[in-house]
Amino acid sequence: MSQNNVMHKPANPAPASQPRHWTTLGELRGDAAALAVKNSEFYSKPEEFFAQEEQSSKFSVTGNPTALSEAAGFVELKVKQNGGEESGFSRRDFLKLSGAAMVFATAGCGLRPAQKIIPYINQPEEIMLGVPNFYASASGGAQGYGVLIKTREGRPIKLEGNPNHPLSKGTLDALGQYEIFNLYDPDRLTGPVKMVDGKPAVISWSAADTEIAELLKAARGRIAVLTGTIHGPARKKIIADFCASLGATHYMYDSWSREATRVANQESFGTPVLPALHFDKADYVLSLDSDFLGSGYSSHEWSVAFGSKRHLNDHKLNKLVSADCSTTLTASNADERFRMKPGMSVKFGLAVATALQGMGAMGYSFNSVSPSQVESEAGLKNGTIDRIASELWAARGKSIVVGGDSLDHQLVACLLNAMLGNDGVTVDGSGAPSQQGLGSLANLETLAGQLNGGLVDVLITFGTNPVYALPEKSGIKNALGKAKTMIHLGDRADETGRLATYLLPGLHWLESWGDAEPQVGLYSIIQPTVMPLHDCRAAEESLLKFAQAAAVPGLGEVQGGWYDYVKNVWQTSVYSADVFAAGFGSFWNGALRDGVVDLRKPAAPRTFNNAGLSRLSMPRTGGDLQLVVQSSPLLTDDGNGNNAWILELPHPVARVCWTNFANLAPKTASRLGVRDGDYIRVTANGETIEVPVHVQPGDVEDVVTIETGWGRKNVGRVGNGVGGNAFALCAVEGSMLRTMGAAVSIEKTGRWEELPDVQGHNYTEGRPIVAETPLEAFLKDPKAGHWHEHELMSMWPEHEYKGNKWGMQIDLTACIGCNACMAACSVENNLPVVGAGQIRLGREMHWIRIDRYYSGDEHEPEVTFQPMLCQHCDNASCETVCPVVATTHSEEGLNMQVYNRCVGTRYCANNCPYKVRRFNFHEYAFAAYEPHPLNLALNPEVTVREKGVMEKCTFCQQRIREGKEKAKSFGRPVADGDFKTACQQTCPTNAISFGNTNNPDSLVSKLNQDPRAYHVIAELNTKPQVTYFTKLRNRPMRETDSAGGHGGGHGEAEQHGGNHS
Amino acid sequence: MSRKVLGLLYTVAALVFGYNMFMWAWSNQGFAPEQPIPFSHKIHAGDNHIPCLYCHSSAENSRHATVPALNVCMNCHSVVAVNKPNIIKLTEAYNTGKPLQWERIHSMPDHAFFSHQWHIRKGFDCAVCHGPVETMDKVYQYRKLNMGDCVQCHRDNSGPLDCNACHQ
Repeated sequence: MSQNNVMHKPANPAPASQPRHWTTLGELRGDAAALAVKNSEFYSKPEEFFAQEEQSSKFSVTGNPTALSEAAGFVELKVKQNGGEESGFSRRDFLKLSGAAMVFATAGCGLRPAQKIIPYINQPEEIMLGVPNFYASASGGAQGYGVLIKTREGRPIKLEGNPNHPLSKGTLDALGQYEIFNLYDPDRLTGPVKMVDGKPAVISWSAADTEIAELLKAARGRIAVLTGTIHGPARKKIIADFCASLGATHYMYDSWSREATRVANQESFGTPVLPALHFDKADYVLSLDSDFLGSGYSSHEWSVAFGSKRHLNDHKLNKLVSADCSTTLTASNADERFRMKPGMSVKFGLAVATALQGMGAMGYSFNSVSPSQVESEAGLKNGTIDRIASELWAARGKSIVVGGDSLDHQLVACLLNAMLGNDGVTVDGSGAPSQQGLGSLANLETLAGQLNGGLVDVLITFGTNPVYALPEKSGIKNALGKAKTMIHLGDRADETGRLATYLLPGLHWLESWGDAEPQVGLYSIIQPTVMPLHDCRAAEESLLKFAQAAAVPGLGEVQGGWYDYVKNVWQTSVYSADVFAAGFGSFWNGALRDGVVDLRKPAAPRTFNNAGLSRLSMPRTGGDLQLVVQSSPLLTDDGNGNNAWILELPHPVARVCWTNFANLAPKTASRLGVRDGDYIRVTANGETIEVPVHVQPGDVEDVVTIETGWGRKNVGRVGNGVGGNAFALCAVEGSMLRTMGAAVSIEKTGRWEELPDVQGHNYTEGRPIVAETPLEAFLKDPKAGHWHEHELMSMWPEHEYKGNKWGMQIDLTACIGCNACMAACSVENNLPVVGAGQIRLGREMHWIRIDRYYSGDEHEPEVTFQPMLCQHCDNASCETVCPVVATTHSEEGLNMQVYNRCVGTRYCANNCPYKVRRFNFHEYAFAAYEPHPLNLALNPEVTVREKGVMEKCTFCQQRIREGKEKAKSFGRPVADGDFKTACQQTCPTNAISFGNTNNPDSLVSKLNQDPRAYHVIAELNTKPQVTYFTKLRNRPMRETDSAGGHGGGHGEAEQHGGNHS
Repeated sequence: MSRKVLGLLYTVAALVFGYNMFMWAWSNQGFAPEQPIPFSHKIHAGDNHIPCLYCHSSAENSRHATVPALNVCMNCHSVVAVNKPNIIKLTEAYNTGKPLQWERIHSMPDHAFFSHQWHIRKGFDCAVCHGPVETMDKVYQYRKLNMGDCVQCHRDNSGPLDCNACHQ
């Protein structure tokens, strides 16, 4: 077989109507080394293979192989053991030995080992073993979305969105799905600890309560409580009561603070609120350096709402315009994107406001900025700003301008929203504003002042990690250390917890009572779904117990525990006999069952005050390279730092996992002489961190972008030392953390490690995989962006489907690439994590993956996200090649993978044109779930695969079965909507639909009739059951777009030309 | 090694292998382990005609039939035969909160999925797979319950023959 690296001309190149899609710069540039991977998918000799494995296991993202996280490193250690010494081993020898081994092994076979059945003493009525129970609750983090928790045998195993909840509407984002692993994190503290002479010693709860009660009584008036964002009537009240009874003060700080928004709203509209943004009412969204889809304060709610307008409805689609300095998730989804230097988007916004003034918008006075000047500074075409302004004006009252997390951006966003009349309609700062980010650095600085002045004797902390999230220079760590006694109620001795004397671990919200109020008037009860796994106690319960032990008047006199307290607060503050017809008991049960009580007041427009605009400071450019620090969409909340599944979830745009990186534009990277994987020292504001480089197509030149949340020191065995801490590079200015525009310098370390990138292991080689077209072209011709799918004859007899036939449909316009589907699938199907080393070898185990394609050039590409999963082909190419018939076709159209029959030849993966089959090269599942109690997260309905077995998407066959069981119990055939696949259920934008294509009335059947529907690589005659909808871009046509419309483009007609070799 | 010796070795290996496979495949039928309390289905299901689903109630709603929880036993045995030594043992377990540890008889390997619910709702009598339980003083496994057993019954009764019906 020829091994030369000449890229063969693909038989069916993408038709002329398609731009060229590429996934990596290596592919775009025709880099031979990058493309060589195409010829080495399957090694010809095991020795080369083992050698590569050995090499790979030496890599580590932290540069310190021995300190590599155990969960991920587990596999790598096993790789060393298995792969290291067998270089002279041939297949024949192996078969000979194993044949003999098998014989002698069976000689010892007898009865299966005995198992015990241990039933309940008193089985609770609502539990039936084998049948899940669902409970409604809400997340205890700042976002507070409503969730439905699936429990089996008394423990939660899966989270879904609560269909009743107006923010999540039955969907859940990737972080929400992976919360389950935070509950079962093996590195949580398992009991109360007291530091004695610098060493941890066990202490009992009662002893801790007694000691602390004494301390608190002696320290009245000199106590501080420092938390993250707290909302929810009971949670807020207990802290307020605690503070009132003991003369304490409450401070809140979030790692990624939203105070810029609150200050801007205070200046502009009079109250320091976080407005609730209603993207489902907006036809037009202008984002000024805001990653609202990825890391906004209510990003899940916003993805859902934005997504609802992302389905072509009556020829209309919403439009997202982004003026930004880095290729974030939001920028990747923008229909039109204007790249500009950090902070320039503020000027852009003002220029739009200037243009709007001429169109009849409210005349607020501000320093006008000339649109043409901004256009020339930012390199935009003439007239762009006027055009955007007029589009915005046409959508006034039905648009949203959303700004990044800096005061300047927020002030301009407030101005624009006021001018467009959005305030009170799509932007709600008055009726039911958000409470999803209440922490502030100014607040923390006040606390620091108190601490430095020796005025705080007892400091109680939980839910926040300022020691990690602030640079050394902020002096916060020093200040916190000055408290005479610090009591940490978080779940582990993290960077902040380390300073404490008492570590009294709190509970995860899945095992605790509480409440949430993400928007004013939108209440949810947080209810536990399992007894506390460890000897831990809810932080709120601890506060109550301290007060009770100290017998202080007020909170100390309250009887009962935290549960009683929550119930009482709900009775007095939420329930009212005027509003609810039922008595409180029924109301409480109803609230528990429904998961939400919606008492939000309607929005009303606020009066805009332009005084705030005087605080605008125009962007400063600092030196040749500027630093932009962004919040990671995965690690916004520092509770996720030890979650291996989250660390392995690829970054939505970069598709790199297991590390953060310094994003550089291609021109900048080549100017600086660095490439992907080069480790550099990044210095800004007098601090240095070390991170690898990632060349990000579409980033702005001379900007270094790094995400926060990484570089943890004390979070657990998985997260410690992974990546670099970008918070350290920020400076505190005007009581806010400045994250944009600082001068930065970089220095090569000389070290290089391949980035764990999930793209770049397979290439499309020019085949038509992604179809996209501008909306304009589509509206003229519904076949735009398409190619004709021929009717092809088949060698094989067709399968007959007499009953159900399952099919899926994915709308590429609605898909925003958030990775929620990947997360839901991995929790539902017991997918393992494999670690950075295996990812580098292309062995990621995600059954559904999001392929991120660029189109256009590397400096200003457009992005398309395509979820790719097993297509369950009618003419599956995998089924015909399995030597042991471990993969066959079911009567309902599924391609089945039988794990116990599979012997691991991997011929099926070889033959799969979509490359969706995943092989267990090692005991991944064992390594991933072995650290107890992670094994409790496993779904008992899905087999856990062992080493040597192939696996892939099964269309959630266990859910199909459950749907059929449900239908059968009602004595009817399965109806559309009886069940949903995990990916479909969680997708915030409803991009995935699933159902019975034999039923002409099902949603999927109807969607398949749409002119946008197409199949991937249909010409191979695999007859896939997943249909995709062409991605529509809501932007004006460009010269680089094809003449559009012929739809029937065959590209170069090689497929009709017979063979060529 | 010489050809003859090798040939002999291979033959022996084949015989040992064959015998073991045979034994292994048939070894679960008739399995009747000792239980912590010698519960007699003959007395309960036989003489007293208690229906299977009275105690094994989850069989019709769940994939597992399960051994009933102690409170189901105590439904009757708080008053019935309270002085018998086995009932005293049962009551003690119930009162002290130390559950009884029954020995599992019918066990499928982890990669085989079986749902009682489907089969009960189809109308199959428990005795089809579990045999004449009402005659058993001590429960034993009546059928082989290997894959061939299941597949044959599926073939005869038009059950699903897809692999993923049982291998999920």
